[in-house]
Amino acid sequence: MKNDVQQLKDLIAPHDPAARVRVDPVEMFTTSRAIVDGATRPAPAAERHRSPRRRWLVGVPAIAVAAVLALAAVRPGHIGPVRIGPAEAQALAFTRHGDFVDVRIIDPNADPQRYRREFAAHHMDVDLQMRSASPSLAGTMISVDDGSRTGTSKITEIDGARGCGNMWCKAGVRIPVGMRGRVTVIFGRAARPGEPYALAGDPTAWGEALQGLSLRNHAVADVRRMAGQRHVTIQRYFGEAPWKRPGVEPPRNFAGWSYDEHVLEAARVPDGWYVHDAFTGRFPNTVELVVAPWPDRGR
Amino acid sequence: MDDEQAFTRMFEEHYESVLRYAWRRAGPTYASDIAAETFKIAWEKYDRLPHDQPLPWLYATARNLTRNLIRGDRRRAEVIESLGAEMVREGMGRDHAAAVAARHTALAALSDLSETDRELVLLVCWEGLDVRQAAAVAGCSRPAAAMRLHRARRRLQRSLGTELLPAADRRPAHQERLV
Repeated sequence: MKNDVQQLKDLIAPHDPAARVRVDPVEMFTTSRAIVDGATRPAPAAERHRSPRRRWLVGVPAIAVAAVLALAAVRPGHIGPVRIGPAEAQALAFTRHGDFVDVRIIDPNADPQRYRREFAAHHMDVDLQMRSASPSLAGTMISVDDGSRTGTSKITEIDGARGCGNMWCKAGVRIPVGMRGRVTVIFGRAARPGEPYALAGDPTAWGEALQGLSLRNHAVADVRRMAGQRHVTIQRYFGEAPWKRPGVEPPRNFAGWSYDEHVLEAARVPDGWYVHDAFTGRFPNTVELVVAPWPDRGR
Repeated sequence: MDDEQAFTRMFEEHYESVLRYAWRRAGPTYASDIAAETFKIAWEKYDRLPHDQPLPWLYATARNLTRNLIRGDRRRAEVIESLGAEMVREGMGRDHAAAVAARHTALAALSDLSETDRELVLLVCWEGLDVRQAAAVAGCSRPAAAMRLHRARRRLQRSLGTELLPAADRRPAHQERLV
């Protein structure tokens, strides 16, 4: 029997016409609410005595479905920034503190060879990588990796004077004197004209397009208006995970939620929805919003 | 967790599977309606649902809805047409003429099976159910399902084993019937 099933699968499984069918999560949520709120649910005792003729889909909106599109976009995950002073002749600043050396970026636009030379002059094996970044992340450290497991690294980060909104960012890195092994550090640098951001910061952080504004739990209409006033384009809308709604637990087979796979058409995002989060887009004066029909009650 | 929360969780876990089930049998035009209606019934009858394994129950409900939907010959023709068109679109998207032809051939071979045999084949191949679960959805015993699957496998292999003909010479059987 198993042989029959396996042979059938070999024959038929590759022809599945629905293999790439995916559901729009926000509309899925809307539909489940419509069913729960709108459908009459007879008491069990009463239901046994009647068998009403079914009418199709009274008041239940059909869910739009779409084949999955692969959307390539760089999203800064656990990363963040702080601008260090004006450009100077030196690319890096090294400050000795007992058994540690603090390293900060002075010139985020310096030639990478200069960084390597200066690290080498301090007997440090550091691979400093610079990525184009939106203003709040330019000149800040957004990642440090010495290959050790989480929690065992001897490297620490240096806090900066200015924050970077809801992103993780540091002013520099504190490295033990005489440390062996390579350290990889990633800093943000200002994007060149026309160059897309590889690292996009919190759009409400210092220097960004919506600096100083509070977006969380504002109606989409409000945020559209605020963006318009600052000549900022809302580049994409992302659907929030259905289980972020209060009282809903993540599914048992929870495997994360990628916003890039849940892009919504602007026309299908009602003005009355709530903004949960915002990202800077890939170019200046663009933002991306995470939206849902319910308010964000905190993380 | 109250009923509403439990239902919402079940909906989020299984909606996509039920939608695919309907898509495979009724095509994209009706899939969303069938899936939404299935869950509407599930909510109305939530007290009597097998809460530990609701998926076979959901499939069985979707199956009944699909059969009602395609009961009339005219609607059935529409359904088959739309499923065929969807397959072609999928195939064209991948730019594989051979894949399109293979899909038409497979669809035609499946169409030649009896309704119950075809349902069992699809439940194990596309929904990924085991034979016992597939039997429950199709409304037959496990031994009967095993026998039907064995018979279907032999028939399908016979039909699909003639693929040595050039793809251009083959016409999907369901198109011939619709002419």
